[in-house]
Amino acid sequence: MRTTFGTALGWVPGEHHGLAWDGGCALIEGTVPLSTAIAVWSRMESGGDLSSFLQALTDVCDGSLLHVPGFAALMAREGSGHVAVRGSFVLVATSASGDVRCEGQGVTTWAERRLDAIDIARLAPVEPDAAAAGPPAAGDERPLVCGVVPASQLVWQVGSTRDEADPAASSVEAEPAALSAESIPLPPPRPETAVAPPDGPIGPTDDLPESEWGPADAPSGAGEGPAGLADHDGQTIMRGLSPLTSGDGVPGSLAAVLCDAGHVNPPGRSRCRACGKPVGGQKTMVAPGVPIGWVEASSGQSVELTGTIIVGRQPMAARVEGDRMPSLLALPFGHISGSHLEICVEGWAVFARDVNSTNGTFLLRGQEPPRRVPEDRIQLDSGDVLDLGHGVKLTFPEMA
Amino acid sequence: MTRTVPDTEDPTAGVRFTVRWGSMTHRGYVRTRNEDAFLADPPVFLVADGMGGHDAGDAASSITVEECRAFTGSRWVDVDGLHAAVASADERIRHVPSSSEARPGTTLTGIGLSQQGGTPCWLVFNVGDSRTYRFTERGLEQISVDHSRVQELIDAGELPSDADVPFGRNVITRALGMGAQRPPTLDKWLLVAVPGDRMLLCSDGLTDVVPDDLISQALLRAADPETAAGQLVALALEAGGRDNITAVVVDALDVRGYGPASSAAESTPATTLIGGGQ
Repeated sequence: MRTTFGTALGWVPGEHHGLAWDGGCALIEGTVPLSTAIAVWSRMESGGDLSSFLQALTDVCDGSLLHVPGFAALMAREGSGHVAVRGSFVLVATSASGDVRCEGQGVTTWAERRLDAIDIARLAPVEPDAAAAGPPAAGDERPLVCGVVPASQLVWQVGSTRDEADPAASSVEAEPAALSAESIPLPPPRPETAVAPPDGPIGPTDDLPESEWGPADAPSGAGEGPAGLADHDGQTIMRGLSPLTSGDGVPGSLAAVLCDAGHVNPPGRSRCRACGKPVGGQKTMVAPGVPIGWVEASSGQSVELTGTIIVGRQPMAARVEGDRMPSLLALPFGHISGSHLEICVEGWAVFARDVNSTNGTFLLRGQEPPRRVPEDRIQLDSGDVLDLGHGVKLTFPEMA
Repeated sequence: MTRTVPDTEDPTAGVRFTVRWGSMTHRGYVRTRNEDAFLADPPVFLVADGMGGHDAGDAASSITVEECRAFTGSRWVDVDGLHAAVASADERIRHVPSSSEARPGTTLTGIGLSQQGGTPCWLVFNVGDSRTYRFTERGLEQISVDHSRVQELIDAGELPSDADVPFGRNVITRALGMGAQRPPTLDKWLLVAVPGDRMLLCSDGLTDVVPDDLISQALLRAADPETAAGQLVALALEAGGRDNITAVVVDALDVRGYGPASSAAESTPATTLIGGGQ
């Protein structure tokens, strides 16, 4: 067992999975199988940063964000940490300047944050009694260096200053937690039906508060669209991220993560959609108008997905008052209406609506029966095909 | 007239958008001045209908033409450039001295030769009640939407779209130089240009007195855009010529994009423009 764990971690028994490895710890929702928690842990145990954790978690959850459980995770070195929280979990970081609370509720993907000068971090589920209870009594904590335990809370004394002030805290000679099935009570296996169906909401969707990613109350909000989150390439994509409207810079700018080569990617992607390189966890903001993908016509044209796209035999963008004109995609075929279909992009989400075309538009999605695209917009997933009849199709290809 | 605009560094160099145009303006039989002005100088074509009495109306429309000459020498018209031209014109018109009660102002409608992703497009713009139409084999289609009291009532559902209202037609709700909003919001349309497209820009001196079907007939019969413009103005004069009348007709001849958006892509490092007289 490793003995290089430089900081002191305590855990309180409970129904979730507590993970600890060199440089990080996490609390993962107890409804996921223990094997999943162990798989994530074993990948982290071999070293990695927060993005590795997020990637490990999405990878073991079928590569789909939809299936990612709630969690709170903290990676820290010398008092400065990188936090991610999703679902009904909260991380409270205590420092000399007070408490910082990171919550995962109301966030479509996860809230992410970098913190400096953390003394103590407490990872816990958001429960009325737990939130009110504050830190557990000292006697309730058990030491943990590295491993997976059934926990309700994790408390990590991160800061070195505290360690000096309280030598006892840093000198906890924790017994390594065993990983064997004998010593870890198995939670009840998660029934398949407990996995959110594709049409279902992702995590909490009611009364979405402001989050790290900004207000999530746009029409693209999770759970509102009739279409589900689709895993389009075995990696990840999420729906429902709204453009930020305030706070982090320009209105309409978009939260994104960068790959090692600097390409812009949706938050939560583990590999770059442009070059396939790993995507770091570093959050950034990109200006409005950056293409988030593209649409391809069966006749050969392709148009980048940015703003609004008018598709038709002789498409026309009408009566625009602002600075940005919609894109036009001309499909010169007799059965297609002059302006037939409108595609619009909001944040990382793509929508389509038929604009009263004569012959209609049909959505082909996986094995589902074709359905007519209404004049009220519907949200598209990567891999969807829009059929305009007589072999004229639009595809939203999987991103490399 | 043939004009070649070489632009070897331009990524849109392979895009071909050849137009032919003609224009006509007339004071009419009633007004003492012609306050209409127009510009037919690729990549921009426009009609401005000035108002304000004495020479203020002339000044307003002429200033607008001058500001839009900023595009001369460019291959394409862009939205930012249009907004800048409108803002400059609006500011200058506000400084035009006027001896009458009415403040000077002008309408503005027109088209810019534009391209999007290598596809040639018409960028139509409008403030006021001058109009831009597209005439194709499918007929005459009004692209611009008037900023007038009548149109506002139609938009609000209080009048049918084909309402023939004997009053209030000349009350416009948006103009350069006289609005509360500075500069006025420019409405814009973007249309994929197709060979054979015939665009008509005109002042209300034409459309107030010549019905659409007569306009269509004139556009259909005259092969040459200059002839078409002349015949349209003649029709308005026959109908009384109560107002200034201006018509600019622009035909798309050779229209080719590049890249995957255009199957007929062809590499031509220049745009050839053949023009009629102004």
